[in-house]
Amino acid sequence: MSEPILQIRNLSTVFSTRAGDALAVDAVTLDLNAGETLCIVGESGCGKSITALSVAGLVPYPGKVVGGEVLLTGADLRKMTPAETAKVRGNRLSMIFQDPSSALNPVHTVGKQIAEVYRLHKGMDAKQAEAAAVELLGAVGIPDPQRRMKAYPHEMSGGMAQRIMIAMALACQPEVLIADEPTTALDVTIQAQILELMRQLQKDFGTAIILITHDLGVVAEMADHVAVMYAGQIVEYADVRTLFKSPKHPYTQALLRSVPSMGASQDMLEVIEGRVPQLTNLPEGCLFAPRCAVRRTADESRCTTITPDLLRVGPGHHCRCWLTAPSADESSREVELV
Amino acid sequence: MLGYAIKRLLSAIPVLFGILVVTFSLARLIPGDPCKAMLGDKVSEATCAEFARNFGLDQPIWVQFFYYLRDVAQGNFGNSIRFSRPVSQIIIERLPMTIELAFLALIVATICGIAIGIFAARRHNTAGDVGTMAIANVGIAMPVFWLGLMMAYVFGVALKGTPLWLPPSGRLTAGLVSVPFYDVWGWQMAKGTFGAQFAEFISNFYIFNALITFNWAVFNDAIRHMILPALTVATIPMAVIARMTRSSLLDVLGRDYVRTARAKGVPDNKVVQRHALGNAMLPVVTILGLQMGALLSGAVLTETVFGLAGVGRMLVEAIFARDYPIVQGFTVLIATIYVVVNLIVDLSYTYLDPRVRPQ
Ligand SMILES: Nc1ncnc2c1ncn2[C@@H]1O[C@H](COP(=O)(O)OP(=O)(O)OP(=O)(O)O)[C@@H](O)[C@H]1O
Ligand SMILES: [Mg+2]
Repeated sequence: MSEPILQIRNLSTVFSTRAGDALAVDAVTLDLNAGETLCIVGESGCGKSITALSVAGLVPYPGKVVGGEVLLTGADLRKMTPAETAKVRGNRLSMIFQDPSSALNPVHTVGKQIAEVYRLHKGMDAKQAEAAAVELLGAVGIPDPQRRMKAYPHEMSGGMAQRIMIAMALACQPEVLIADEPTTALDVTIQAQILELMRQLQKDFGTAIILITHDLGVVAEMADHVAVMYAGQIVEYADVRTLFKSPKHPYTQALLRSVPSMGASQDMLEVIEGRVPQLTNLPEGCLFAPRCAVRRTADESRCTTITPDLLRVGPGHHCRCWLTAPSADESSREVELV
Repeated sequence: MLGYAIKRLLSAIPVLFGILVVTFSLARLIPGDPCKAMLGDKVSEATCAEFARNFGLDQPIWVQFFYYLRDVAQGNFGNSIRFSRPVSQIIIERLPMTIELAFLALIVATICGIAIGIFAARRHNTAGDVGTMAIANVGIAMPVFWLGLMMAYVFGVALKGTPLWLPPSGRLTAGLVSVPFYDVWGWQMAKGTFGAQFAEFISNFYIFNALITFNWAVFNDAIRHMILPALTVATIPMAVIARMTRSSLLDVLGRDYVRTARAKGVPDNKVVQRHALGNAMLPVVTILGLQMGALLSGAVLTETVFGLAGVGRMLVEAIFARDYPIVQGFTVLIATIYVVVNLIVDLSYTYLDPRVRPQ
């Protein structure tokens, strides 16, 4: 297995709101291996996007990253000056977002927006950057790229715009690409094309991808590793096979049962009862405990009193649950990922 | 683009036509006999019949309207009752000063307003932001005539004898004369022709006239006389523009495409400059067009306070003196300026925003 290219260590982000401080990202620790895809899944509002933005240093006001490290090949992005971070973003670490139609600047041509990346990071002049941009547009499957360069974002379909975003993100062949639900806003056939494009470019450039999604089908198709998030915390982390085959966390299990699976005839899909807790008013103990069906039958007092740690439950498999926690003598090997 | 400009220009015609209908009806709706209004209460029947024939008042109303259109097209707005002079001549004499005043005020308001707005937005929720916006709110609430009087007092009276002193009234210091450029250049023009009238109109822009004739003494003096009035007129629009710029920029800075720009590695200051300002200016441009109203009404009061002979003050005086030809002529004029300004705003919009640009 290759060295992790991106190491996220205890990353925490707080939103100070009138209702109190919300820990939207709670000591998230993750590794991303070069050339691999890590999927982050979880319900709406569990902190997937904020985790991604925290990694890139783009958390919106009133949010603030309050602790942790983001090591890109060993160098901590959080310790860099704004000028240094600007050199990394779009060059070694890129992002694409959910809604491509609002992610492009409406008053500039797409050609100009792509060329800007080359001018910023590759020191090209306007002419060179334009030529490079035309070539790149062709590479991401935009027909008639020369003409498309002069188009404005509002003249493009969502799928086309997302291709432009991908082109922009991959222009400098970054080591890491963070894609926050890149296909959620697109219709199904376009979704498949975009995912295929990402996979192709990943193969060509060796880019490692953090893919955020709440579509488990996408996870099955794209992921090498999966992290499941709940209320700002990673509750389970494993390689994709292990996670689908033997999920340990009751939340993951419920999540998997809530999707229709091909082949198996399921009369009814399960819904997870209750709602995601409010980040300003978190329950004591395990954050999932109030909704946890397993706990109700298990009779484990720690669930509602002490927050469980993310513990190793198998090779490269970690879970944050008292019910699956290894017995005391084993737990010395905890929290060490991979 | 040019085709669109022409189309917009043509679409202004119905608006202008509407304005003419309104001003035409205005004159007919004024209570009382126009003959008596013009010639006094004690005129004889015969004189009035003569009067009606002279002014076409015995014709059917649509014929009168046709005459009116013809006159306006020829720049003929009739004669002022008070001054017994053509309204067009009064416009030639007075409009340039008001345009100069409004234009200077517009420049000050736009540049300072946008700069202040950017300053505040970039310091969102800090003392700098809160402070500037508090001042802007005071600026909006300030009565123009009071502000004008205060300015005139502080800079024109209290600071007398210091280098900060500025003339509190008039267009030029007594003794200085603005010599029309055509006299400086020795042009010979037949009186009363359109060319001569146009040249006279241009020469009444004192600052511009001094500039093209290299008369720096008059240039400096005219500008110094305009500073206080222009600042007075500019205050409210400047505050409005500053608030608009701030809120628009804050809105834009939270947009997805600004986040994209940051994610691309665009440095912070360039993010504002390249990716936020262009978008943030769209609502500001709209406001600019609307502020023309504030600018013109501000000019009326300001001209009075600073003793400037512009159209604003003349219009107010004409209303009180029931000098209807002037009211009518000036209304057409101001409405036309309004239409033209909004046309420019519209066209600049298509320049700034590709989404409304015609293909
Ligand atoms: N602008 C904000 N102000 C206050 N709190 C915020 C803000 N943005 C996010 N949060 C908090 O952060 C939490 C996580 O938000 P995030 O956008 O990361 O969720 P998500 O997992 O990406 O959800 P989705 O699937 O809907 O995109 C939210 O539940 C909310 O409490
Ligand atoms: Mg999200």
